[in-house]
Amino acid sequence: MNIDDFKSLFDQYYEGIKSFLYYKIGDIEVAEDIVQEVFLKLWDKRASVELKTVKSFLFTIANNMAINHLKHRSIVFNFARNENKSGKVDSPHYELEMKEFKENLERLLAEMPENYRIVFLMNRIDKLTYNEIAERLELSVKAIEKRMSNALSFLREKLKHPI
Amino acid sequence: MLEETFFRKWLEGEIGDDEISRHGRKVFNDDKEWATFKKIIEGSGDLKLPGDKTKEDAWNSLATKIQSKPSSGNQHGRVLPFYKKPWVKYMAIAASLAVIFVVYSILFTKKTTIYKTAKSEIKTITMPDNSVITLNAASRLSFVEGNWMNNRSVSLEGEAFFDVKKGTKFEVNSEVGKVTVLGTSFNVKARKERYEVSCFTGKVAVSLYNDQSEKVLSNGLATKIMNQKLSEPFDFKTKSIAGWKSGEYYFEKQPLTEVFEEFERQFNVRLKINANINDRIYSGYFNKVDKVEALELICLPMNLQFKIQNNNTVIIY
Repeated sequence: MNIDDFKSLFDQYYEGIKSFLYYKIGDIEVAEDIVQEVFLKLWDKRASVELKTVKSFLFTIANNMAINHLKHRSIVFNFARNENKSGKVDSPHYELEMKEFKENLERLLAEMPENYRIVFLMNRIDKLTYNEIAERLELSVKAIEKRMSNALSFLREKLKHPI
Repeated sequence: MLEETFFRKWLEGEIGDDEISRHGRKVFNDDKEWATFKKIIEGSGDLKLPGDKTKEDAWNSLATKIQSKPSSGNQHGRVLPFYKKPWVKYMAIAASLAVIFVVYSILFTKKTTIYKTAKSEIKTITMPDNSVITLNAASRLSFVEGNWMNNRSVSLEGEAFFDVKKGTKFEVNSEVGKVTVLGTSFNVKARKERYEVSCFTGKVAVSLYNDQSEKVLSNGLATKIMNQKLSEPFDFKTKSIAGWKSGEYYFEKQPLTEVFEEFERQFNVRLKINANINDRIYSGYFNKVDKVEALELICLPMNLQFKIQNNNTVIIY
């Protein structure tokens, strides 16, 4: 693997790994730091890593490195929102409503068990299909279906008993 | 359309708005609930990651770090004529490796044996070489059957005590690290963020996957993860580590949250904790004979109250 191969792997997986780490840790700065570590590790191991397994190598390293950062941390999400596609200016009332909705959603996501949350967000935000998520996390598609359906049941359950 | 198929199609963007609404209303019996649910699914799709560091920024700082590394730091790092050869050759090698792998897996794959314990259950497993593994509650152990005598390697989630007969290398793999021994007895606790290995007899080597440095433990010494690294070996009390095998649980300066988790595992009870117990540390003992006594032993010294709601729920306040 030379630097060009490395750069193209970086281009391909940087965003995906960063998101994965953020979903797991809930701290963008830590996620950005770990992403760097992950790719440095790949660079160090470039002689022994096979291209075929590089994807799962990256996600496994990211997962292991994240585990140690999770100690005694509470997860507080603070997502950004995509630009309003229609281009029209939102009323202040609508803005406020959206802000409240976003905060509730973030709280709900932080409460969701990590396993479901990561899979759920990889689909919702990264727009990955079940197959793609399964490949990245080295799980079966069945397992992704299960986690996704757990995530949905979790959300439904929370709606029934709003806090 | 089955619910699962419907959700998958929806989440993967395969069906249009009309169909989503038509089918969604059927799945939910309450229109308002459906509307909120739909809003959550759609709203979460509109989110993106915070932070304003771009991919280019990240690449630049990564490139700087790589350049400042000594190029001979890697065993193959100095000259790489092989990798400079055309892409095609690399592909050919990858392909032949793939073929070898497939043939190998067809010929030699043995089935994996899995042992799982439920809450409040302890299992003793005797391996083909007469090594004995005692699996604590809510734990999972797996290994490849067949070639056991030549490849003594198991995976562990949870906690187990190992009494290993002398022989070839014996390996215990957990999520963050592994233990390597020849013949000895030791305890591995790999639960959530805790990873702790205690050596009872003989010698064991412990290493983490993301930190290659190794700690060698002789009898009476233990190590655990602290700040992402294995701690220097420290003394432990036999009782406090292996007491669980005889239904006795000793704790010395351990986070109260972990003590309650152990309680839940051993009595198969759900605790509802209505008090702030983060950062609280507990030292003490309970055994598996009497649930109420165990609760008293934990709660009294910590100045907490408990109420048994039914057979499997207890409120702590």
